[in-house]
Amino acid sequence: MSAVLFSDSPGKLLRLPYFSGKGAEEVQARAMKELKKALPSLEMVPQVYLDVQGCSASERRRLLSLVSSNPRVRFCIVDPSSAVDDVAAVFHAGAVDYLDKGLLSAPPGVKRRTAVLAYIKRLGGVGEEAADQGPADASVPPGDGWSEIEPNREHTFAFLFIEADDAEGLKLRHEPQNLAAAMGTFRDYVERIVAQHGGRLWMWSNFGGLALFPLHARAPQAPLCGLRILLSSIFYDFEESLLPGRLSFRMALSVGSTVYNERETGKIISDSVNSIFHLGRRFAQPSQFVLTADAVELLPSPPKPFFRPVGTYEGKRVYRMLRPSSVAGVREQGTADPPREDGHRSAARRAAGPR
Amino acid sequence: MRVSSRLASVFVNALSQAMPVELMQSIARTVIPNYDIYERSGFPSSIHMPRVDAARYILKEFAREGYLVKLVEALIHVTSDGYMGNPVRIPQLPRIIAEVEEQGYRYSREEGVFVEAGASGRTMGWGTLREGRTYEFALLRMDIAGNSEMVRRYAREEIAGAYTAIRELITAKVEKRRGRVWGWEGDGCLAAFYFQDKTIQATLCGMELVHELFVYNLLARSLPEPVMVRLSVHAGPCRFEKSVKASSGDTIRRVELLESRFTPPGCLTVSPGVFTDLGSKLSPLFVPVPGPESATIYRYALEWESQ
Repeated sequence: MSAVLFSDSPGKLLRLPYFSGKGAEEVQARAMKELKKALPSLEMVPQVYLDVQGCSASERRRLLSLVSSNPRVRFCIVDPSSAVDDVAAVFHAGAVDYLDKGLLSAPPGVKRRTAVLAYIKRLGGVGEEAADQGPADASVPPGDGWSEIEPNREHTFAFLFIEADDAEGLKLRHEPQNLAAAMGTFRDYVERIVAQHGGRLWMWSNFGGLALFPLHARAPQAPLCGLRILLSSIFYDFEESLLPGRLSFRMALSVGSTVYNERETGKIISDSVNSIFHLGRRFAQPSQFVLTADAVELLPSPPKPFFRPVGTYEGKRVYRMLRPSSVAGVREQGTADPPREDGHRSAARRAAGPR
Repeated sequence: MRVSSRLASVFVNALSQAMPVELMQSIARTVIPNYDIYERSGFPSSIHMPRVDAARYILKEFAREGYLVKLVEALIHVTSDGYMGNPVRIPQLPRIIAEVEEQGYRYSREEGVFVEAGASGRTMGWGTLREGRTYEFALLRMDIAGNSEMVRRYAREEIAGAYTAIRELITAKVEKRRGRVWGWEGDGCLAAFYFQDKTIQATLCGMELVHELFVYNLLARSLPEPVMVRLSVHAGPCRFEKSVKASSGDTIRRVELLESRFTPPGCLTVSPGVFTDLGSKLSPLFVPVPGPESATIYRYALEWESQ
């Protein structure tokens, strides 16, 4: 779903670098007079831009009052003539971003968009699933459990570890700046799917990170999130990845508890956090998705045949999820590792003749 | 498209101030081949036509024949790429674009065309295709396997609920990749992709539907048994009609044939021409199988490690 710009003269605005430069998101223009009628349908729009150029102070107040009447709409004030004198008031009214003449004259940076996303989350994580490019997924029930998570207190979570395989090989094969940019797209991909399943990417460091899913949620989505990351990795490789070949990554999922803090995650001391990193880095093999028994229990019954026991780690039984045909055998181009052939039915053998 | 008096005024001023009549005519010919303003207007070709009159006449004719948006697109192209190697400046072009966008269009920089703006105004032709004309499309055909048996086995409400969920899923995935569902016929549909990388987008959409229907059947299905679909992709010329029933031709027949006779449930089949566009990341996921008339077609299925 595209962002929406409400403006009485969108043509000129959309040609500004912020909306037309590298990395600009797709924006649909609508007339300002449509805003009131459209307000209920804007909850699912990832970002609503409101052009206040030419508005008097009282018109701006009326506009803010109107849009803030629906607190689930994430809106950004676009002020190309930098006429707003009290920018803080814009945020007090519920805006998630403010773009003045200077910001509009440059393409949007990844940092800024990440900061806006983080700010939205701090406001209460209003429907991150709206970032998806389709309607709400029938397999993802509402109620993500984050409203019950209090900062600086211990909570139980499903921990999803994800990390690109063969980091040393990647460093050897790619220039540091190129690799950092490539891993940035990987992070964006992971963060988007995690958010669609009610989780939050909590830690990230170069090649991977850790996502949290509250267990207060009506139906924890962490295992489904892992499955979706596996299934859609082919689309990431093809459409978003900056690497020449497929990116191999491993995932691990377990259940544990930790003190939750939005920031200063480096100071967190938690056995569960240590354990999931060890499970992901020491136990999981390249391109595998492993789960502890308590994480498998989060699943409804039908998908369990897709998991195979692979031993125990730190006293917990561990299962490995079978890999789909689009993932098994994946390796980043140029890696020294041989292709994996462990039991995957070859594509040629499954070829069936015409019906 | 309705031509407001403001648009008419801006358009006539912009053209008459920016270019001679000959250039107006040349740009008009990129939209309507062999367009001759003197012949059409009856103005004697031996006398130089005033620029304002020429711009006004072009506006009137192109608006009447429904080509005004295409002409504005052509003006945008010549201002960015020049005409016959010469730069063209139209200082008031942004105002023309803004006026067109006021009418519910959005200029897509990637495609170089105006498309309809807003989710509520989605049409089969993206707001830019003209009925009765032939375009190159990538077509995605989908059909629910075993529909007749399911309709007999379950109550109408149960079937309706399941099919509504499937339709919403398919429409969302098609539109996510800038395609349009052209029509539903009971248990099947035809979707079209027109813009850049259309064969890739149609194929990725088909693959994503194979994956998403797997997840739907695993976790969210409302019927006791999984709903399986057959998907096929083929690309080629097709006459665009606003009624999918009126649209016909080899490309549609071919994609229907691939789906109905050469695709097992749960699979996606693509024609050889589509397969050649897939590139090194996607093509290894498809396996060659015998197709119609001894041709080799290519199939994608979501399968899992056996252990």
